[in-house]
Amino acid sequence: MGEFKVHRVRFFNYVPSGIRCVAYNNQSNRLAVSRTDGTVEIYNLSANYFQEKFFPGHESRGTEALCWAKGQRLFSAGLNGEIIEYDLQALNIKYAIDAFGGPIWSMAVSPCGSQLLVGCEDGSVKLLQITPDKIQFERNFDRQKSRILSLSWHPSGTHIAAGSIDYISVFDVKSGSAVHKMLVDRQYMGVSKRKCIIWGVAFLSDGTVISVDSAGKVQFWDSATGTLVKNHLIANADVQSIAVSDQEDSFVVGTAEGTVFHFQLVSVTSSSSEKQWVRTKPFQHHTHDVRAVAHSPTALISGGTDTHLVIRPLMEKVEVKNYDAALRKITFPHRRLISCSKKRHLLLFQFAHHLELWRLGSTVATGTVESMCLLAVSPDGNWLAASGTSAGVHVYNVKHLKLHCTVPAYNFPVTALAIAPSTNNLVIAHSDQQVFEYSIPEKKYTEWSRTIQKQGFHYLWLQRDTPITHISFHPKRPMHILLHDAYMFCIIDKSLPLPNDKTLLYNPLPPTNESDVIRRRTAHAFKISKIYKPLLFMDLLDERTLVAVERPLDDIIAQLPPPIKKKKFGT
Amino acid sequence: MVAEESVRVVRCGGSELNFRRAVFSADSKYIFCVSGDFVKVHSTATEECVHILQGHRNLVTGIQLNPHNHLQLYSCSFDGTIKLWDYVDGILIKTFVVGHKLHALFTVTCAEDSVFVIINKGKQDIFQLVSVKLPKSSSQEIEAKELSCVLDYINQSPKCIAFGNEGEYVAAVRDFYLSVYFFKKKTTSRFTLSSSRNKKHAKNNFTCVACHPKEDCIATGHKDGKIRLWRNFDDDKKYTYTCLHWHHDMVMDLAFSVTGTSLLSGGRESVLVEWRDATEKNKEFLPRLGATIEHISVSPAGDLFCTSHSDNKIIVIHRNLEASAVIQGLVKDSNIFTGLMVDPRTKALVLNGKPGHLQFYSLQHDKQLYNLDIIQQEYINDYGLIQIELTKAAFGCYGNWLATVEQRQEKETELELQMKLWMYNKKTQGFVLNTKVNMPHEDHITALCFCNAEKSETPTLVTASKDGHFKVWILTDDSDIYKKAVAWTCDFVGSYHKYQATNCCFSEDGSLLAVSFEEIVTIWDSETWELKCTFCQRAGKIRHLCFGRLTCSKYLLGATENGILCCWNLLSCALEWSTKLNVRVMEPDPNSENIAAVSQSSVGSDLFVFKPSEPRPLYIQKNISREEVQWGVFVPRDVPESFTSEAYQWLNRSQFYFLTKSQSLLTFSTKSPEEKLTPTSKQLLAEESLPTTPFYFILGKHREKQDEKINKAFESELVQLPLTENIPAISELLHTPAHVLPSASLLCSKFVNSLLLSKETKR
Repeated sequence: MGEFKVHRVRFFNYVPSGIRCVAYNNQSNRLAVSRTDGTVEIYNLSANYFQEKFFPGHESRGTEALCWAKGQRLFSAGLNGEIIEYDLQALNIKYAIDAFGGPIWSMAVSPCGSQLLVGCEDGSVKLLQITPDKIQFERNFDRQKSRILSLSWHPSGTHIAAGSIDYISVFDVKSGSAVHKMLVDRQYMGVSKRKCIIWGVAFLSDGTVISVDSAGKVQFWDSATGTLVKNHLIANADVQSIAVSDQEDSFVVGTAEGTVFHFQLVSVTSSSSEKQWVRTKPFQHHTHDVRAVAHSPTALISGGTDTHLVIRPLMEKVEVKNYDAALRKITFPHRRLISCSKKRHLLLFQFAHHLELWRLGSTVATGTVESMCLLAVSPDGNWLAASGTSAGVHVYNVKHLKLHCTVPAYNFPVTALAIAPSTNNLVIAHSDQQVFEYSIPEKKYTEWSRTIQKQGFHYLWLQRDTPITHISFHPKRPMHILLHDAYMFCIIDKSLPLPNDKTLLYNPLPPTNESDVIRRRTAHAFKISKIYKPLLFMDLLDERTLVAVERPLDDIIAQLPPPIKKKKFGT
Repeated sequence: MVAEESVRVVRCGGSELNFRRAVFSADSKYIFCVSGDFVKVHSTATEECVHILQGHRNLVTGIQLNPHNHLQLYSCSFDGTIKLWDYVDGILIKTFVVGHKLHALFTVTCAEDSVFVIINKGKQDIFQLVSVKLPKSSSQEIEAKELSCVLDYINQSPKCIAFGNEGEYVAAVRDFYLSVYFFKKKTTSRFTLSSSRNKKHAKNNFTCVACHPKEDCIATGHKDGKIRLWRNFDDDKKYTYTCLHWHHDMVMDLAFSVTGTSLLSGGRESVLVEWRDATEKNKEFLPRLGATIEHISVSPAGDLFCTSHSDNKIIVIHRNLEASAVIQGLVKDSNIFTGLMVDPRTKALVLNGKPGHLQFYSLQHDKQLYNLDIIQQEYINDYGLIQIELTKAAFGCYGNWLATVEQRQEKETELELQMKLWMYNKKTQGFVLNTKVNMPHEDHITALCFCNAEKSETPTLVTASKDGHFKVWILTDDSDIYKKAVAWTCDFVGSYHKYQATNCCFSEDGSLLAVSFEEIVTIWDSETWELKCTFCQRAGKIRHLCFGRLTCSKYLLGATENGILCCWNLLSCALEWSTKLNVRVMEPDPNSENIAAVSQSSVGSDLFVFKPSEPRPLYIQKNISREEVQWGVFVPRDVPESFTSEAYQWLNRSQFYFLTKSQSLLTFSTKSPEEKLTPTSKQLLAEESLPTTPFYFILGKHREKQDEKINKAFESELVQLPLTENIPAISELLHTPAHVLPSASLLCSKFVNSLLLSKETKR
């Protein structure tokens, strides 16, 4: 593996924005996440939670609501009053339409997926029809006194519930008039707060409306009579989000204290059919407000101000206890944000709205907005490998400007690409942690790649959380491939034997006292170092110098607003 | 007496009331608790013991109401029997002989004729929950051998077993898992928590379990203070639980209210927590209960709760979380420094109780009379904190004065010492602090004694200390200008060659004071405080010192650390006799010449009762206890016994009680003294439960009120009305069943006559 001089870079001042909305699509098993800066990310939950698509945001386009409509269409609405549809193929914004109701606070797609409902600052609820290529305003519902902060459709599509300030309204969709107005208690632990904001509502098929509010309550209402059925006081701070499972047997709420509570519908006794909602497990995976939650059939998904996207699988829904049943915490984008100029010792940092160019050892310069795509050029300039949003990789001959070959299709998206300098081998890393080596001149996978596919990767290698974001090569040792993800840095030495499941994958740094014989016996192709984390970028500057860019989580948390202070016992 | 039974050592009261959960009667009028080999029935309103159910020959380990007849009570014991009692009359109805040592008892409504017990078969620590079929038979004693195992390898504590949903399932917890057995399906589900190997969950151990009465919900308590509420546990996969966390230390017990709307929990914080609707934010507290909550139980009527505490106390708590009654036994969880004393007024046994308190414990009623707060400082329960200890106490002048010594030593050189003198106040019927002396001596006080002579005019107290001095304190009346207040001052300081004073003792008439200085005994004249003579035997430091009484008052006895017991004649100033005996406890009987000495050997403790004048002991009992006997005392009897046998005559006027190292209070008797306990309140209670008929107004409380009015009217002229229960005619009338009573016309004249005041009762 050798010894390197390492530039340990910690001045990449990258702070991800807080998560504002999450929307889960059951059909495609995709998750849309919008952040406070307007960025929208699409995660493919089937492909090892890989962030496969990405729409850069803009300051003027803060999203407040995000939802999927029929036919895998994604809509968002925000405080600028516009409804936006995203083009998931072209990765751009299809169109933006002003709803003419002031800032939009909430949006909901009808159960059939063909109608869109938005709640606006002026207290209006607007119904829009989704046409194949656009959306069309249909009509307004009875206007309310204050802003509509949350909306929920009854699964049959006949009624909707709208959460406002201090009350919840139930509308009849046909007539557009309010059927019930349910006043929410402002009292909070005996102290009267100024206002009680209904942060979220959920309409269940049996007519129950669940509301979460700023007084820390989760309340169950009977929409037929407009009465309060049950009250759960769960937090000392706001409860900000709610998501119900499709079966309506469990739901999840997120609080400003960073706690996510799971509620389940359980039968009162095993013999009777009577069921009740019971608060079961609390999860404390966040430090700040949980602004958005989603409920997939097998997992609870939450995100908030602390920028983490947390996917907590439900143990009882998971069939086998494998690695998919583990908790996932996604903090950094699954893209490379840093490029490096080896000859000039320059680092280029990509931020949401600007670039920074650093000379190693010198100071800053700024550039302009740029978007990116997965491309790899061979060092001799002959070949170009490109990967689109679909999984295939195409190799082009630059000199002749034509397609040279297509790498056989693989189910999982590509996370990193690189072409080796001397052999013109294309190394591809996929989101399921597989690594392939494809020989461009021979238009086939290399022998080494076939061997490793036959033998399979080490199980610990496949269980890594984060995708490989960068691949590079050693200029002098053609047998070496360098790659890294957020938690480890690895040199694959193709000359050494491959590890099997019995060998130790993460061997500690070779101790000096061990004899060469033992070292040789235990040596395998994967040399892994975990000393740098979270690692955003690593590359070789020359044969003896490495540059590593880290972004410690503590530095990010230090730049976030302070969390709600909670009394800790014993302090 | 015809044939005298042999005298044996018997356990005498002070048994743990907190050994098992207390049980309420169906109407909440009575509360049952185990107490050693007995079951006690207390009234929840008056705290008074109504009945003692006696019959088990070993520790009672479980009590439950008969689910099919709420006027009956089942009890089980280590003696291998289950007994069925009629608790209203205190009658044993049936005995079921099971044969195994029974550790706990459970009853379930739906199980027609069987109960559940915990037994251990085979190995020492493997316990089973078995169901016992109770055969129907008219005979008094029935063999119940039909056992069927329900759950194996369980925890022996009954707190770790709970039956739910009217006996449809049973939940058991042990270490890190919860097992639920469903009777209908005959399946067991097991749920395991991550164990101690994971450092974060190191204290996940289950400690107790309770089942919701209406819903399928199991509450479990844990060592780290968490309470988990399990639901959906009939499905191995879909089971779920939620956490309630307030306790910072182990959850000792849990109980659901009758309707299941609230959950009660308690632990070392001594706070009863009521979780309403099983939500974390909605909870109520009953704090400052005095000691660790060991058990919680709920009355079937739902109006009362009760908590059993580690200081041997049961608190009955009203539904609105107000403590309504306290049943306090002998407090046992502290070191006894003061030894055993007898309060001359109440004849109560006095010893260390709660930290910083003296407890007055009635041997007759087996209950604590009251606690006297000596140190008068808030006790802070924190590990490693050096507390103020109440080390010495003595009664003087027929119980008019009480002297106490407290000390605290943080370091070798920093001794804090305080002596307090308390005067008995007749009006308040309690001790009031009179004098507080800071640092009465430079070093530890080793002995404290009052001069209890009848003729002495001024109360006198002597303290001996390791600083080489003994001090005489007398009561003077110069503390204020009106010469009304009295206080104690030091009158004389004596020493002998700078030796440490180890013991002091007044002769019976108060004329002589004996003070031992290590190996030397000095005799002082109490009039002039002159040194009269010294005795020195060179047989080690004097450990105990006492004068003989009555006819033997010319003898002085001393026991040394080297195991020599010496008797000096004060008239001849010479050694009368000495013997080799390793005396641990030496106590003179106040009513006779007898002296009891308990010696310690490697096998056990032996008792010798002797008269100083006679060379042969009156009575020897070998091996009275396997443990070391720490303290002993003679308690005068109210009614003298009449043992004719010479060996037992020493027991006629007083009774000898002693306390072993494990704090069991034992005595000598032919029968257990608890058998003789008089349930005084029985009669009273019967009357209380009378309906408010015109008779009631004549006989009951109404009459007492009249008494008070009369008392007010004739303040000096007291009219003593006859107590109703003393009149045979009335008690006959009230306690004979109505259907066997003679006709009212026959009874009338007798009854009216009995209400008239007879001449003797007038004073």
